[in-house]
Amino acid sequence: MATNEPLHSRILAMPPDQTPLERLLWSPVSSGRLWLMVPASVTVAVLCAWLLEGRLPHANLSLIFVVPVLVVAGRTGLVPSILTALLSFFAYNYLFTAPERTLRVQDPTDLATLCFFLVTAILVALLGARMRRYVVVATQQAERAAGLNEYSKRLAVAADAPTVAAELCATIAKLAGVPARVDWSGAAMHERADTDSTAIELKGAGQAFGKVTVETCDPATLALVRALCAQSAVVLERIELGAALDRARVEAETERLRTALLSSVSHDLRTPLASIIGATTSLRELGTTLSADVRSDLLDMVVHEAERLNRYIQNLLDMARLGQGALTLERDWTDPDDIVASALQRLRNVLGEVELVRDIVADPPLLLVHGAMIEQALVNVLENAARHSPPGGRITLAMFTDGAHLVVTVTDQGPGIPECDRERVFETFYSVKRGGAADGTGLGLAISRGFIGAHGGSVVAGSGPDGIGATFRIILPLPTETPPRDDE
Amino acid sequence: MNDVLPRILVVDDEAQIRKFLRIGLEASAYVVSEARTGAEALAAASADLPNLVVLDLGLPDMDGVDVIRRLREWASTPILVLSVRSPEAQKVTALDAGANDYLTKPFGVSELLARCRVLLRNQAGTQGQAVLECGDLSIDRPARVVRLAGVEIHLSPKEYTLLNLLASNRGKILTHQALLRQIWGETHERDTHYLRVLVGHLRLKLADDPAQPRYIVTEQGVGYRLRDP
Repeated sequence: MATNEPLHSRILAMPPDQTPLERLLWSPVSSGRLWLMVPASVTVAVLCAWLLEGRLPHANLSLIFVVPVLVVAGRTGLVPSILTALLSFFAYNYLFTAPERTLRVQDPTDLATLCFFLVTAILVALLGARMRRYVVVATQQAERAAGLNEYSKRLAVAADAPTVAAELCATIAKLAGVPARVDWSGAAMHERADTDSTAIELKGAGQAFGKVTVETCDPATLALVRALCAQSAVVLERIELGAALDRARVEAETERLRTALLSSVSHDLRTPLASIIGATTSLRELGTTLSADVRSDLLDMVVHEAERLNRYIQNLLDMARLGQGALTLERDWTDPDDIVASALQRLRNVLGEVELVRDIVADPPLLLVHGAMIEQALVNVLENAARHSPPGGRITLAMFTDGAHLVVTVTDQGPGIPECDRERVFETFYSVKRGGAADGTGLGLAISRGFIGAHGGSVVAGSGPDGIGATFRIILPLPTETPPRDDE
Repeated sequence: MNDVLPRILVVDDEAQIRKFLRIGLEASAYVVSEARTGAEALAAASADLPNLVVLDLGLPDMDGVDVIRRLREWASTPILVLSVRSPEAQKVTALDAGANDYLTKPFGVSELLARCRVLLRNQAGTQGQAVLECGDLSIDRPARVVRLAGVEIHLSPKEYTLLNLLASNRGKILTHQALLRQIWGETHERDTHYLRVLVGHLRLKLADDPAQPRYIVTEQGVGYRLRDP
């Protein structure tokens, strides 16, 4: 790359600076028109010389015939240029030196002019062709430099090795015009050339990633391919490093979740069990000495705690289902009223201590959802509200539509959620991280968001009205199709 | 004496569950027999001819649904299925195979007794019963007249069919598929939205609050039942 640098900087600026004359002189022509150019340019020169004959000394007319040689040399190659030089020579000799219309020459000065013309024309042809070669090479270099530049830009956004390989092959095909393929298994090898293809190592500062096989042995092309390979290897190293970081991050997160899960399991399974064992052993050992009211209280507690255990286990199972990514939605037409009814029915013991106010739109549209999942999501949000409600507090359950969505809001009169935590409450085990406040498992809201998200909806937390308490909004897209009507 | 008391066969591989069921059921004056496996259950069913089978779906030797199918080959004994919380599809499969109702574990003894009562009562059937009553609701079947607290309400033919089906099986679950089949016919077995809309209309006419229904109770993803007072 470094060896190419000065040339690039010189040449890169060239194409936009071309004047129309330069374009006429140096623009390449296709091979078909190439051979046509030779007679055409000489014919033009002949016409010009005719027009100027008499106004210029004879010898000066020969200068006009240098022009076609220059033009052809600039735009084609050596052979057409020499051909043009010879053709011009004969045309000048035949048409403009006495005796005219013959190849014979009378005047010795004319003879000298002709000789000098031929030498000049051939020198011009040689020079022009050489310049032409430089221009071709320089243009190619400029194109390759621009290609390399573009390639490095494209690589900057490549996220994985296959993308890099695809970009590399595409760029080699575009810039060098030869097919290439990347072979990842070819580590620990050196550059090797066969009769018609070359294998180049894809190696960065440290490790070798594989090899690139290109079907060419042309040194200029190989230099380009090597430059591309070096660039790719740097990017591959960057990607490898990023992946390693990601793995480390995932491992750390997994470890954090594992720790949180263990602490959650031991806390959330043992607490209700402790209450159950305590209450039942009290009843067994002290049953006769306890009043009927106390005995009834203890029994209520056992039932209550056992139900809590049951909900917790449901949460663990739901979380596992979400974690496996194996969530299968069995969508069916579902009445939102039914979801609310089932959720309230399941939570009748939990909601017993709060005042529940319902503000539900009449005759809501049917949803096309997996009913049990939406119900579980609502159960978890309601349970969370009940847990953070003050004794005798009010929970408002509202449901309405806003055109394309069904919105369910659950508002409590609890302490509310600070603005900075309103996203974090949906993180798994967030409440546990915070120090196990209340008796939350740190799973419920994460599950709600997972289940609603699986339906293309969202759950968001906000402040309650007048800044009192918290409001959770469950937003579900309404089905785009309306259910076909019963043609009764 | 035992001849007049209803006999219930309890099938569960967990000794603790069998014990709890036996205590609860015997306290309610049922005669209880027990089986631990599917094979034992099938043998006991043919030997004892119970009036009701309480069957756990998770058995050690065979799938509970297969036990239901084997039983249904020769007996119409009501079957109450017990299952741990499971996908709704599994409940529907059990009901389709011939089970009459289900209870999700864990459940309270009152729920169990209520279901047993309904299933044993339905065994006698509502066939030939001219007027069905459910709370404030009365259905005069020969006249096809429905009254709510004495006031006649007008139902479309399909609404009436739905209410009649639910009332004839009061307290018992009817799956979406079964209802769709009986109201719209085989070809509409999957058009659950018809049923949702029809139930919505019927609830409206019965002045039933859908979010806290007095009459028609939704079993999410499975079906409907008319609440047993």
